[in-house]
Amino acid sequence: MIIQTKNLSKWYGTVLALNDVSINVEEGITGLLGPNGAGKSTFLKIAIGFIKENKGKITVLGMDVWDNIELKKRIGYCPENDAFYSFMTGYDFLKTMGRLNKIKDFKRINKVLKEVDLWDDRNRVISGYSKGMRQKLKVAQALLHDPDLLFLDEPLSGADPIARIKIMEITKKLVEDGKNIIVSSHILHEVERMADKVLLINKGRVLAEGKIHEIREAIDKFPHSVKLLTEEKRKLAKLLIGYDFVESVKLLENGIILKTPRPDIFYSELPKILIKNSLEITHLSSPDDNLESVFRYLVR
Amino acid sequence: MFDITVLTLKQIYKSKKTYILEIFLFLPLILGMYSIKHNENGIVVFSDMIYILYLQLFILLITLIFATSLIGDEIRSGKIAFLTTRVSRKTIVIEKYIGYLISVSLVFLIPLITTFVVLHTYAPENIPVKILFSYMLIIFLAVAAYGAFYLFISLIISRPLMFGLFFAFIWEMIAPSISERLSKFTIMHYLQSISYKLIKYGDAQHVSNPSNFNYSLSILCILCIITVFLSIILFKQKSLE
Repeated sequence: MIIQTKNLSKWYGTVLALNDVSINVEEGITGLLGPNGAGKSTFLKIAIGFIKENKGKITVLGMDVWDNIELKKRIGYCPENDAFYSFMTGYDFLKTMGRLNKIKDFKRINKVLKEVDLWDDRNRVISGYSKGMRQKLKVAQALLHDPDLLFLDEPLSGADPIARIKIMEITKKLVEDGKNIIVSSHILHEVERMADKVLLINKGRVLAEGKIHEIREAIDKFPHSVKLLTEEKRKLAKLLIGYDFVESVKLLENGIILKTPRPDIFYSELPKILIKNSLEITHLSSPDDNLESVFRYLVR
Repeated sequence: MFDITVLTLKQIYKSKKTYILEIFLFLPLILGMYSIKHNENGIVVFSDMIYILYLQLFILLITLIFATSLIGDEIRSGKIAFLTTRVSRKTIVIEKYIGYLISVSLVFLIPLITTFVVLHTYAPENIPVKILFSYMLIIFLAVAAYGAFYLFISLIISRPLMFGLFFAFIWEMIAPSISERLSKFTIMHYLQSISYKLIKYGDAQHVSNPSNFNYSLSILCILCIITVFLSIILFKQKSLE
């Protein structure tokens, strides 16, 4: 077991963020799935010793998590929020983080930069990085010390399609190399492409855990909406409506919202369609209503 | 070793606010030159400018700004996660404090030395170098003591700037005028007592009931050690919500 919790609870004033969570997370890659505010980030932050639980117990890799220097050496964390030492270049940032990890061999930094496709941009100041590059840099700093267990909090959030594919490739390779990963997302089909097991979490409770295809079968029974923001909304709408996995498209002020009966195919085809037609999207999200539907279905 | 100290130095010296505040620290130079031009004694002018503007105004303000943001800003922005997932929380507090101490002391020392050199050249009489070294020591002690105190405050209350402003410009200023006993509960009292012993000119000599030099020095050192130690304990327990 890489993570074990017993009656883990966390509250902020009267708001219950985690409610009596007792789980065992096995080796491999596990997706933490739930809508925004479900308690995913709270769970991850407790697991890395960033915030303290109010009740219950958690062990990670068999160790207590709070300010445990031995555990810090074995975990990597990619935070959700987009804060950096923006005055640094990507290379300087990784060098600084590497030093904190006692990495003396700079070849490792070069290797990680190449792995995340930031080698050519390594000497650019972070404040000039795109959102996708920043996401990749966050993943890179988490990989730097070759940790046994990686926590990725919404790693695909805001990333462009190419960065998404890259991050998914990296996670896949890490699992092949025998690493353990906990990845959180509020989009099932993102998690599906990275993880084979999933913990479904909502309102601080774990509603279901198990193989992802079982969860997907449940969610695919519901219509799935996807919101895409782009400057070329008409071109994108016209293009997508021609595919049989797109049921309807509605134009918004700065993008489109579409319904798909086959979200699995849609999510795997979208990056290819965008690249092929030289289209750019600035935002992709799946309204949480769909997940809520699954949750309602699961708790019935 | 000391990587967080180096990071802190870079953060402070890459910050625009450092350069904006640095400009104000050249005010004694401008005012000093003006006073000397109007035939005032160069030694007294230099001493009083530093004593009044640095010790009783700029140090209170600048240490407050930098020390309260030292860890507080990293928590608010979330950048602290890059550090807490790598090194112990004790190391973060100690190395950040050392980084603050070096960088903020330098922020003061550069204009202090420049002011001394220019006024020394400009004034008809020689300004003894001993005054410069004495003020370097006093400023270092002030940066250390106020910084340690504000760092501690930033870890226990959510609005450290508001509290710090009250402490610096109400408590530190008013307490001595209420009673002599209360003045012993201000950091300023011990800094003024050290100035009284080291600087034999101008306003530095107008201190009522100064404490003994060694006692004052000890109190400031103990304050630094205790508040940094308490900051470590607090930060080790702190849930970074």
